[in-house]
Amino acid sequence: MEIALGLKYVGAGLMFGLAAIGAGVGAGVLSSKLIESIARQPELEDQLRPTYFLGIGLVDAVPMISVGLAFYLLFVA
Amino acid sequence: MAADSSGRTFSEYLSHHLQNLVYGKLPAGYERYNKDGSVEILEKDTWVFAHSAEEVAEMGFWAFHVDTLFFSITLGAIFLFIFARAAKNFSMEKPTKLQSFIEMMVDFIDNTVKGTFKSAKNTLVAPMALTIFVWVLLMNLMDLVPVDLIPYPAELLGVPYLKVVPTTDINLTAALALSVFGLYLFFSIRSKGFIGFIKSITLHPFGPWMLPANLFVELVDMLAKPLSLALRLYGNLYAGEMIFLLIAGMVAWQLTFSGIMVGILGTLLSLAWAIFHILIVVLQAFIFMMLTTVYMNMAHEKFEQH
Repeated sequence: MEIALGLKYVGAGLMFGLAAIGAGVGAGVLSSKLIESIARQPELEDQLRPTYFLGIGLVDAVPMISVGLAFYLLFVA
Repeated sequence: MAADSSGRTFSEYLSHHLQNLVYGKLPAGYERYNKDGSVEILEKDTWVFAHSAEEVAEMGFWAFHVDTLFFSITLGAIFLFIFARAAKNFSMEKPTKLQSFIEMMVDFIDNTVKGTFKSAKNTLVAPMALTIFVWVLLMNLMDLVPVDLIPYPAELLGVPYLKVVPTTDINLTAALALSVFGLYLFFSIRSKGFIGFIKSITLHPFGPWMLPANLFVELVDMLAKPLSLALRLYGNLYAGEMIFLLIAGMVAWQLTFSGIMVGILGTLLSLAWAIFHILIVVLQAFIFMMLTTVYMNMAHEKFEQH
């Protein structure tokens, strides 16, 4: 039983951590590309920003789901 | 771990707040445990509100999430009422603040749809995008209402469970996504013709000699659309709500010095998360609207031989 409880915490920790890694890489790539593009063609900023936010929303969704499920695992299940 | 004012433990508090108010049918002979400890045996099949998670499990598939239905329909009615009133009182000379706000919103959706939906002419897409955006936004905004503000008084009035954010219920997001998917299929078939639609899912990526592989790829691609739409909205809002609940349950107000300090900390944490959450709330509504428009655009694309 002790081991099962410990493994639950390890699992939740892995969920938080891996989700953060993936989202961090994704958001980093997106933001750097946005800055590059604006530096190259500043007049396109207004068109790029909505697309950027759409992308950030898509990237943001998966880790948030993972964090929610990890909390569920820790405290409810 | 702090318990809330009704004497629950922390994890009971969480599961209580994550349970919908369910109205469903309990079978004859089912033993109901009342709050005072008495046992009531049902003589015949009865439609009742569930009092515990076990009863919800017993009700099975044909059960209604009354709180989700109530809040989503109410918010939809509020949206229609406000927009209809602004349209009725429309004036070129003296626009009210409300009218300007709604014009801004309509313009914003109109521009977004014009930028994305280019493959055909369809007057349904932009109004649908507006409806989805405003409705999902309103439902998401219920997440910023403090987690105990509505459920706690309702519980004192005898409502056993109450979840105020409709989009944290997967049934609602799945229903929205399935409606969008139904329209996607309808417009696909209407613009390509039935034969063209069949062609588009059987001949597309690898050519006619790889028909089973084509069908498999296209079907997975197609089914992923409603699934990802539903799960993205649900997952984000559920996770957000979960974090509000964790903050509320872990750092609850108590009338001692340390209790008050902890309560202030909890309030600040809630505030910080709420401010960050405003971004997610609007973004998820926008993404749902945007992806719907993108799918509608794909549905109207003519089948091309590659």
